Amino acid sequence: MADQEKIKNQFSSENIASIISGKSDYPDWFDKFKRLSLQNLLDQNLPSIKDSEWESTKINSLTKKLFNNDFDASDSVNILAEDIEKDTNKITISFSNGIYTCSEELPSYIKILSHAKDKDQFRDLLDMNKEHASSFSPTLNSLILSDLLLIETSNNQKVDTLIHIINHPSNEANLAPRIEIRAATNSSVKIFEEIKTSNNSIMNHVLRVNCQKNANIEFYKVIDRQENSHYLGTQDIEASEDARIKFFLWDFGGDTSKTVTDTRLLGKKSEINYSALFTPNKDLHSGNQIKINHEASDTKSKIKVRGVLHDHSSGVFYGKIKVKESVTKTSAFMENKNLLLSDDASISSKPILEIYNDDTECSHSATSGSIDKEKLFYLKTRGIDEVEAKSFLINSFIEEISGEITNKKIQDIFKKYLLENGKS
Amino acid sequence: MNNKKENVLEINDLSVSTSGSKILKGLNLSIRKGETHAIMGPNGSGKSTLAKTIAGHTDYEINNGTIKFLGNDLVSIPIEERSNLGLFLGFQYPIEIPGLSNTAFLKAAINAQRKYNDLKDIPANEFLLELKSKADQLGLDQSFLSRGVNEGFSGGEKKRNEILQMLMLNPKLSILDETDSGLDIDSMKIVADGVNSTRNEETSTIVITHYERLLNYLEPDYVHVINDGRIIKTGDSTLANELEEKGYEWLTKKK
Repeated sequence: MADQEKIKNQFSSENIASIISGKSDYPDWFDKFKRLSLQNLLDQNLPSIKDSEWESTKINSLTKKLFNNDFDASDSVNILAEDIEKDTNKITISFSNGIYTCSEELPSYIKILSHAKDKDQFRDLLDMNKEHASSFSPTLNSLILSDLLLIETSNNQKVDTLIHIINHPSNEANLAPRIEIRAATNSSVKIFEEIKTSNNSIMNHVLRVNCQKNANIEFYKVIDRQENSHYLGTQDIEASEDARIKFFLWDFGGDTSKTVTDTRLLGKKSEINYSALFTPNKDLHSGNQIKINHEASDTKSKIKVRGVLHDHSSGVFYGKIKVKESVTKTSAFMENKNLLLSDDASISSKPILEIYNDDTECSHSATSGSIDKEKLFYLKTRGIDEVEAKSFLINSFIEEISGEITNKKIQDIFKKYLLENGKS
Repeated sequence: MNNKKENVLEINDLSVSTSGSKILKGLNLSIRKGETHAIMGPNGSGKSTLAKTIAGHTDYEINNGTIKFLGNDLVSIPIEERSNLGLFLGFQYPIEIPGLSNTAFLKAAINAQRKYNDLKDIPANEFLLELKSKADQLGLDQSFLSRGVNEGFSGGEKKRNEILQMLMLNPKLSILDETDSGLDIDSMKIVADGVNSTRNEETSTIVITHYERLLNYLEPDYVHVINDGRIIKTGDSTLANELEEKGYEWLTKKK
């Protein structure tokens, strides 16, 4: 309870919202929202490896650091001009010091919501009933957040422009980006989000995705190496009839880095293709948790996750596919493969199927091992030295999953990351 | 044979074990520049062990003896350096490496060899032209070049891909470990033509095989029979015909 006392003391002020979201005046409803979030947080236990959700997760320094960082968001936004590339087919949105900005005029389908701007919509999206009272990370996000990025297409709208979200580096801060994506009927949208390396920070990221009938969402995300920082991601995805979602995540690991994705396939023939790659090095940690609930018939899911673990790093894969009793003709595929590049690297992998209806096609597998020495021998017999041969084999392992990226522009960006990763 | 030609490979009293079992037991073999030798023998006699030991596979422990390649003591030389010196092993079971394109792999192999010989990287155009021409020679469709190394290749395609690598690397000594297994007659002819195209006064070849057919195309200078880790008989190419007719028993049966 000592930590709970710390939280109480930190937020004992009269005006909670201004403490955690800046010094300006805040409307009563926003302050009330923050108080409710605080109460929710106090009602919960802090992350503990005794809790199944945090099992095998490296959390020691996370819980120590959690309430020592500054919760004040600065009003100043400092973004280097060269960070924003000019590209007519791309719109770049920056998240820095707790605030979203865009250097160009936002198209109608993108909104940056705050208590001052589009406040009604902001208030609706922050409806306490929708908050995760039972989960630590999103509750902390609600407590800290300052504004919200909304991407909302209209019916039949096909957005060709790539939406590029950059979360800029921050120092010794508690950050709470929140993104809401709503793809209306027959619409499509593509998003690429980058989380840059921060210093001594904790990022509590919340993403909510709602994909309506026959809509199509592609979401690609890279979490860059967070050597002394923490990243906690909570992602809720809902798909209606005939909706298709492609989600790709590359996590380089952090002091703690953990992404929890909860997917509900609510409409008939909806499908999700989830691919993830985690590549922590040194003593970094990366956790990947994905749950998919098949709640309608004829739904499809594919989970493909690869871990490449260097040095003393550790990783967790937890995958769960659930098929409801009343649901038929589903197809679910789950595969996790891990490459351990050192005797000191470790992985905990749990692929779980919970199937309550036999009319389904399901498969799950998990493998872990070191570099295949026969492959290494083969490459060396062609004159390729050990370092290059290993790099080829690691990259070929990664390529098995980066092949899931179908967007050319994203492919190029990921190739750059792949090249840099190969050198490390 | 020209006895004045220098030895490419010189193996003396070689004993090798793997997983605690002695496989090679005092094997001797000398190969001179320009020669083609065939090694035949029953299953488990040590043919592949010999090939992998020469290439440097770490599962095979040398208990005794020496292997000299172009005058160098091979045992102390790393696997990749053996290749860069001009040694090539065509695998019995070529390895699949999905995600690494055949072209990128071959380019890295050629540039490793060039770097070893203090040469600059091969210009991209020159490399691609040569690669395409060699692939054509072996009847390998261009699409194989962009696919992952041996990924999804049929048995015959994998073997042809081994020969493609051999043609591109231009080795001084090639050891072809059962390259003919899994090949239909047409493919065997293509592979044999490929191997024959590399034969000259400077290059040598060891062909490990169970069948006479490939040897009819390659016409080896010597045929050796290996049994229980030793060479028990050496002859000219007519020995292969004799083995085809009589099998190995007349040689291996203890008197």
